[in-house]
Amino acid sequence: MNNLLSVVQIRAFVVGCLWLGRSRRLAEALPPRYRHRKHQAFIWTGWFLPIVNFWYPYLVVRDVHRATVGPAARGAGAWWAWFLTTDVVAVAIYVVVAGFALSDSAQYASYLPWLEAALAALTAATGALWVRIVREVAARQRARVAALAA
Amino acid sequence: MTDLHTRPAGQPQAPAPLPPVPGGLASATQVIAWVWVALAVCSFAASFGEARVVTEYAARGLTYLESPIVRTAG
Repeated sequence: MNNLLSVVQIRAFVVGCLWLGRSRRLAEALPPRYRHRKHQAFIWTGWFLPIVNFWYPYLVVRDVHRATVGPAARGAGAWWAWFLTTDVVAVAIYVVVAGFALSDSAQYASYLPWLEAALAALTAATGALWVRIVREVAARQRARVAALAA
Repeated sequence: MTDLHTRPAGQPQAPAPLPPVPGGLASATQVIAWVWVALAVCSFAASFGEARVVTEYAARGLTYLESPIVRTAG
């Protein structure tokens, strides 16, 4: 299950970054001009660079979202907050398992089910928010290109 | 450069064609995101069940090495 999850996660990353890159190119070509705060190389690299990976992916996604949907675009901040919280809970699970391994304390073990449940809920929420952003951007792209062609 | 020389003076330059709308990629992104979420939830649900067993083991005074975490990893 975990191997399959990793394969799907890698594919989700590749497809998502490809979509972000094409969406940014389209956003840059559509009027009015929007100044993207980060270079397009960070669409791929921002996730891996230490320290800046805590906010560069958010800035890249937020700028594509805003450049396409407009200044009223909302949701990227919430998506990123859930994404980071998911990471924090995943780290907490490792810490609790390590604490249990070192101390054999039942107290450490008692946290595990709730952390696992929280991780599942956070992952679902993060995924749902990401899909909402993608749907919104895709719908606005179609509408804006159709309006320009008319 | 060629366009500058051949275009009659005063005629506006034609706008560059727009890049295509990445509609297929948007659909693929959504589908794979949902697949990932479904797999992640299933995986964590299994971990949740395992964690409950670990809690029971720990409550009975059994050690980490005797718990399902180690047996699953092994």
